[in-house]
Amino acid sequence: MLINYFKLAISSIFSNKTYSAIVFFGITFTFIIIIILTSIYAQLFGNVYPESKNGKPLYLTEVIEKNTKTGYTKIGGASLSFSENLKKNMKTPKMISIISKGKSINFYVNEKKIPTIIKFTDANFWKSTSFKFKKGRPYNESDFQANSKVIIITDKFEKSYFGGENGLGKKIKMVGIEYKVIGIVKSASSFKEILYSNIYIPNLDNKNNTFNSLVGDYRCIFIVDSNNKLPILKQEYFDIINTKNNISNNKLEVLSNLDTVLESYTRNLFGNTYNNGLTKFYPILALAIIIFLFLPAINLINLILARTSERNIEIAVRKSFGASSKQILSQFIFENIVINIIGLLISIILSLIIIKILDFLFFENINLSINGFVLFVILIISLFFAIITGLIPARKLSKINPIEILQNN
Amino acid sequence: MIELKNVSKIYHTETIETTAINDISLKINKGDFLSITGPSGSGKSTLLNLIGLLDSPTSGDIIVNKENIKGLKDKKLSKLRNKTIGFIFQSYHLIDDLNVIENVELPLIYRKISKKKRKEMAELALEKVGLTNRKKHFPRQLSGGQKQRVAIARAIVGNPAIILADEPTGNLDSKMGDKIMGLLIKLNKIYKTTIILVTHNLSLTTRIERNIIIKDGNLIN
Repeated sequence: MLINYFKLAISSIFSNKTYSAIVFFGITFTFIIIIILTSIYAQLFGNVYPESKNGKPLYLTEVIEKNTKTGYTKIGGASLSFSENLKKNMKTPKMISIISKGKSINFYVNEKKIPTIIKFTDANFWKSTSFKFKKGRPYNESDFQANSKVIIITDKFEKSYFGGENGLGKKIKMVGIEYKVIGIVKSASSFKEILYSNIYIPNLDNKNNTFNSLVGDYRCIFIVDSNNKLPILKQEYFDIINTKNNISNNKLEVLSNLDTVLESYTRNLFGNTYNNGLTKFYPILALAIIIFLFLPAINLINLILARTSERNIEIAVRKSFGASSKQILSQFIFENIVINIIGLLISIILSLIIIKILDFLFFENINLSINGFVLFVILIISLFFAIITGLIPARKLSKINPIEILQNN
Repeated sequence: MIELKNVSKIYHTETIETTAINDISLKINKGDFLSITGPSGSGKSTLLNLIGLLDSPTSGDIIVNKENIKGLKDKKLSKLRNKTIGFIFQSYHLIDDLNVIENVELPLIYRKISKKKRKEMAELALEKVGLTNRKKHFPRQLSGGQKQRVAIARAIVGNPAIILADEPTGNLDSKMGDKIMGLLIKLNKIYKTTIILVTHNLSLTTRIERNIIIKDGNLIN
């Protein structure tokens, strides 16, 4: 029966090409926007390249110091001494890595300006991420201890700085110091704000840490083995922060959390120190998707309804030969699902093209991709969309009086 | 096989109450060939709807194979209709997007019958109407007479208890109309198919043994 329905769905697409073109335009336009937004979401918040594949990461991105007496508040990343302290003393994570915030510098090659982000990291950084080395090697603990003047650059930077030549082993001069390129990695997406950089340097600089503050210019990556350990890690960190509060004579209040990338955003937007904001974020996200789908859904329902009169005879014949209202309903929903799935396939192909264009337009390499997560989300949304938009016209069709239709035609 | 007992059908609008069928009792046995004739508005269509199990009476009972259809849910009624009734319409009403054999198979897809078996049954029905060589054609490639023969094959494919033919020759010229009538008579004689012919063409009824006339919702025998 399904093959029969499938054939009917396909022939109904070809029997009225203008109508089908309008329907497919609406469906693909809607789905392309959802695919692109979902792939941005996946790139921003998903566990994708170059995040660690050997464990689950949590990030320390923000520390707030509040003087309860004067009201003076200091907000920033973690200070180096605080980060090193955590690295030395915390028990739950299997690895902690320290990375500085990005610094912008400009290179001029053949009078062409190359805006560049540099970050300072420890040697653990390469073990707590999954950067793919296209050439060379990561710097290790001995490079770090010896204060070697070595750097890792990204493939994108290699291309713009060395103009297609092999950059491995070559030297780059920054602030009067020459650094040797010992490794070239595949660039991270610029959406991976914590990990993204053009140049990575094995050096952590403590000069900004005055007054022994916990606030500074560094972020930490904490790696645990499994999701089960994430709450334990969060609790351990929470206890450390509370201890800091206790020893500060009640003058200094420290507010900080270990978060996933998503939590670090939602905490800022919808939550606070004690609430990661996810319980508000998910309903808002769901509502936004429903509102976004509402208009195209209404449009599609109207289009299908306008066309149902053409199908009245077919439905009447089917009913008179024993199709129940429920079977008619399923047939039309199935047809709508087929149409939506074809629309979905077109949308995926077009989205891949759009993503290539976006990558071409933005030098910074936003690295969007349609991965399993994006496909899963769009499949669920498209099925939901197909059922909702098929249901209303199908209900109307399933209630027609066959003899009335067949005798009047 | 199918029995109408004191069946009435009354339609209500805001201001008027119309009695389309008035206290009709009718018994149709296996192998019967009967015609129902009457002028337009006499209640023929309503009676067709009722016998075809597409409508339920306001009062009275319709009994199909000893089962009273009163209160049957849509699913059960559809199943009963599928097994009991085969329709033939004046305008053939084949589905344009399906080819001949797929059109003939249509009633069978609502039964749990394998694709292979469906094909066999459809081919047998097409053989009975003499159209085996057109099974891959689409309705638009057929003449009116051929379309009506496909419609007859569709009506008989599932071996329903009753064939309801609503003006089956209305869209055909007299020669082709005769052929179609001949085919219906042959199906009745050879295969003992029960046929109810609804028509306003009295000349057709001369070849049929049992004729029922309906006027203003009442049966006049």
